[in-house]
Amino acid sequence: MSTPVLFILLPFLLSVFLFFLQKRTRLVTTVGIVTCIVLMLFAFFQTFGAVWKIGPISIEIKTDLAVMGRSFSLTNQDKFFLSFLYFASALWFAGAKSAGVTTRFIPFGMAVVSILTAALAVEPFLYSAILVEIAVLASVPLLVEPGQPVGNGVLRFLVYQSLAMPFILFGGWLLGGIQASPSDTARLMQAVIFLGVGFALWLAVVPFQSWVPKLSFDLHPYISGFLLGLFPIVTMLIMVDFISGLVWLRESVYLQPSIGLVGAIMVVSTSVWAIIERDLSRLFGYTVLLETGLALLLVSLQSDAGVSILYLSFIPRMFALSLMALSLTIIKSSGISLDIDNLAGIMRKFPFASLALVISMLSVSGCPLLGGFPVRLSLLELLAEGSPGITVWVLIGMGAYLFSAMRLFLKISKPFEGGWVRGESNNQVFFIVTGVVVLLVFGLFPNLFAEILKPLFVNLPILR
Amino acid sequence: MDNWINIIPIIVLAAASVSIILFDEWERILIGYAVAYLSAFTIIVQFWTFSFSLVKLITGLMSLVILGLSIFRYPVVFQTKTRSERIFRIITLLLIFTVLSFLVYRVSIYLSIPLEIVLASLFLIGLGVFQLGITHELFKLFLAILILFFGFELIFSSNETSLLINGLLAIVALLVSLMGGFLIINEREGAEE
Repeated sequence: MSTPVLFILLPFLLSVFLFFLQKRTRLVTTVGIVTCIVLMLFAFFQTFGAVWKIGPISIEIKTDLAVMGRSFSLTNQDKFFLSFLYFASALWFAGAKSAGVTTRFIPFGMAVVSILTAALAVEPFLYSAILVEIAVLASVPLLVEPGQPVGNGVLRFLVYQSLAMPFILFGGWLLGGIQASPSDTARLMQAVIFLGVGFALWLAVVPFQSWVPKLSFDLHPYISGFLLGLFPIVTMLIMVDFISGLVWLRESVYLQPSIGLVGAIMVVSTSVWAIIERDLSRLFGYTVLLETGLALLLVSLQSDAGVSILYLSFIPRMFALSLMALSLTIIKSSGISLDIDNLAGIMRKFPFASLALVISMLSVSGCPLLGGFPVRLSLLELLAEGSPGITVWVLIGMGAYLFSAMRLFLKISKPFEGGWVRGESNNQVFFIVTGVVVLLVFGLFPNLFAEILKPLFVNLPILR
Repeated sequence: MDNWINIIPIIVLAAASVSIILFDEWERILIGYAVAYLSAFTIIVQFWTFSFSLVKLITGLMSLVILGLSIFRYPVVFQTKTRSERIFRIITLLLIFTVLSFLVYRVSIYLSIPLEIVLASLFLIGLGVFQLGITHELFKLFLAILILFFGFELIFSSNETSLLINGLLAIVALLVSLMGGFLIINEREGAEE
């Protein structure tokens, strides 16, 4: 038994199996959630490379799987990623019924998750470009409603993500050729440029970011939450692993300023767009971009603390995005347009969804007592030590995003003639309350989470 | 160029590219792409093993068949281009090809790949990028992605002969066409209802 079989092959085969059982919604949901939870617990508690004892039976858990001369490797270094990924998937699948998404969400979602895990596990890194492209293509059935025309955002998503593959493959191939003569700096620079463009396309970094708000506008909010919550994190981790694997790259004097500058531009530009944006679906896209910008800033710190905070920041990010996606889904499914002008007084119709929407935005902007606060505070502290200029810009960006959250709050809390009603179902209220409580607990007791997750933070990528 | 006779498939490829951006009928567009694949095949087969080249050709043609079958089920008439639009497209594509022709020698030396392959590859990439930039129709967009990937493969597979990576690239090409077909059928079924 090996970890790639458990975390890649098994969920992929299950997704194929579940695809044929789509009509049995309850079975598909249960199998999807249980599988993800079991895999999450296994990643959390079991040491990879050791023996797994179940009563008298002992099974060796190998960490590598060779396929046609190449290997898939999931070691103890990947435990946090695997736990997080399958925990997040379990949550998304659990909320699928409440969100009213199509029955193919869980089979295709599981296939995407397993292929993305393969992308992170494959060695050499070059192959992850193809696997991410396959994951993008596997997500296509989620991107359209039956019988509906394909939106411009979906097309852009496909084009931009597809364009990334040749850049990464070519850059990786150039880099492979240079290993023999690392002194060839001109070729080294060309390889880095190709890879940089590839990663920028994957992560929707400026100037390739236009598809994100368009995609979130075109898609069901819950689906866009799942995809935009997943892809940027996985590609970010592939990038971090890649930087960590090349000593000359992480020691380059250009790496820190270039990633830091790009991150700061993303934070400021997306926050400014968030202020003037009238549609909440697009606003969701800008929120994803803001998170990516902040994550890039954490990478630019090139420190152990920065990497730990980056990994930890995925938790409040995931909860905030899923809360936001669920809230938007609830409001949209009642037939209300997500234009901010139509949402006056909506808090009295959907009190839980409206509050969750505002709380998730406040958390993203780093408001005290919420999940985003500890990670934003740590980021600003670390940034201020080395780049005070960028710190100021990031503060301006976060302030601008906070302004858009307050503007939304003012709009949705306007008095409404109909009085207070509750438009959410009990299931929806349960998921919303759970999400809000987790954000609050993370904000109030950040060290609690850090302590719980400490065993997983072993052998994290080194960026300097 | 190792063999000057290879200028013929290159010219055929360029002509097929021009026809692709000029025609409005999906059948002619598909034939244009098929000719482009065949022209590229006649070049690569001289430098790669026959079976390896054949895999690339068959993958490409299969992808075209999948997309063709999807659109055949629900025929679509693309918006007819005006005369000035056609002239604009031809001039732009020829400009792209001209610029690429000036680059090809240096790229060929830099990558140590035969000039013919690089020229065919750059033409296909140029066509793909140009199509991606100007089209909104699903059918044309997926064809553009396919031809872009094929152009890239000509350069990439010249140096990277790993079975796994080339197999995965073939899977990607087929998946692109499958998903394109799925989206086309999904959209057309909705329009008919």
